[in-house]
Amino acid sequence: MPPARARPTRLALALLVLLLVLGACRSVVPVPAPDDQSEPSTVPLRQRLVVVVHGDADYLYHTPDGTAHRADRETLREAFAAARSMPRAEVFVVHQRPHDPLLGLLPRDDGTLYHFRRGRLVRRTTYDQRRRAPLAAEAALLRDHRAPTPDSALFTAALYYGHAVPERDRPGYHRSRPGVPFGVEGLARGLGRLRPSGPFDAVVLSTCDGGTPHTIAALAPHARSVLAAPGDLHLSFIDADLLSTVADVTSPEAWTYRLAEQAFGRLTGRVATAVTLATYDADRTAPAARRLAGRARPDTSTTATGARHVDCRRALGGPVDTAGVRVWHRPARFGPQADRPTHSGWACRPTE
Amino acid sequence: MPRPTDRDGEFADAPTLPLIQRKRFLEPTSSAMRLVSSLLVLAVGLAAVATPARADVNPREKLKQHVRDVVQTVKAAPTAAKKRAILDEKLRGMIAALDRAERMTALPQDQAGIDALRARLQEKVDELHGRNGYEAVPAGQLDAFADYVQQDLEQADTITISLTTALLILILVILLA
Repeated sequence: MPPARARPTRLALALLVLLLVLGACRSVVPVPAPDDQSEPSTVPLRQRLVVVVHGDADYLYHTPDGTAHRADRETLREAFAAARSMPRAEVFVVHQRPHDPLLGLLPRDDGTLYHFRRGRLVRRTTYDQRRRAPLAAEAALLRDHRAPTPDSALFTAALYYGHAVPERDRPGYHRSRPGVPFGVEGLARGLGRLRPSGPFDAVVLSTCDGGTPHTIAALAPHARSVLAAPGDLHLSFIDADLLSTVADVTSPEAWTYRLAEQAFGRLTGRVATAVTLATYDADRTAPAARRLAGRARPDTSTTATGARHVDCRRALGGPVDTAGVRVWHRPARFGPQADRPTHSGWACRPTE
Repeated sequence: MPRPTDRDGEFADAPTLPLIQRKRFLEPTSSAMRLVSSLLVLAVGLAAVATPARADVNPREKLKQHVRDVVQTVKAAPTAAKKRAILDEKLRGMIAALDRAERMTALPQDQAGIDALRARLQEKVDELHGRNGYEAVPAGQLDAFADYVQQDLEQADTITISLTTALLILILVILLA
């Protein structure tokens, strides 16, 4: 009886399809389901935030009790919590996952977008990152799905969570696609794609070595105020759940100031390494950033060197222009920079 | 008397099928094919789904877990002298592993990463014992120092070492432990 014989093969094929679908749809974080849209709120929006979480590298860290954490997943959970508790915000959370073709051959999406509006998850979709054009795919999704309220009528901010962004575009940043170059210039172009009509009110660089003159000079055209770390930043990052504590703030300087203040309080409570955060008024600091970038030792390395950045005052051997820079600094409890109680807010590569 | 065996080692007294049936049994019948194909499909499918679990564990992360284990061992040690001795032994063990890995591997792109990691480890040994301009870590702060060691190494994300070299370092760390 041919139909009966064919059944096991069909079952096997069905099983294969099911497994492949499971494999294609899996996510590395618990995926929230879209919320019930039966009674959508109509309260006017006040903020539009884009949270970019780079997850294509090594993000394992441990808390003092030995518990393992993955920085990108922690940040996603925090961002979800914040987005759900902000009834007057539209929040796009982007998770840039490793390139992981099915069976090593078949391409599949390596990015996930979570779109929250007025505290509800309204869309969850996967996409192809197109790494050679940073944030281009994410910008297209934002254009397609954002609420009609124009950016100009809202407070807008972009937050980037990841490892230190190289000052010059170079390969090696994306662990699964090491050949694709990425750097501050690429990130700046990406921010321009996300907000083509003008600068973000605030940009947060939750990475190590974000407060270098070259980086601030590159980001200045795309932000009114920048929050970054001029030195190492522990992998636990600037907690994304703190976004809900500045949900009512629409002044760029006040938003970055309050976020920095609270993040600093949390970081100093949990790590023994140095904690240095700084906010940069883009208009006021851009000229100084360009001047300092001309004096500082350029980062021309083609691979990560692991060299620690230091205060530009030390690297350049004298005072630096700190107008428009606010600094929160607690030196490391141990190590070579434990005896340096102040920081200018500008980080430079050490002179050899 | 040993029981006779046939050429393939099969027990000679085992019930045998008539020759024609044995041939058929050895030929790929449709049901056997279906069974094999089903198993293959299952294996391939499971492999596809299971890939991230394997990818989550890599030598770099294993090295971080090794440091985590060291830190927890230090915290569990009963005296300051033992805490200091454990830190000294493990930090020196990692430096020795880096030295050996450097001699055994010829990946020039890893040299800067190895140098940076070794420098970070050496400065911790120096501080532990109060050398090279450091004051020795006080006895009452060794647990906090262990936390600092872990956090500083974990956040040293600009140190790039290839998977191959990281695996070699990991093996050497384990062998030299």
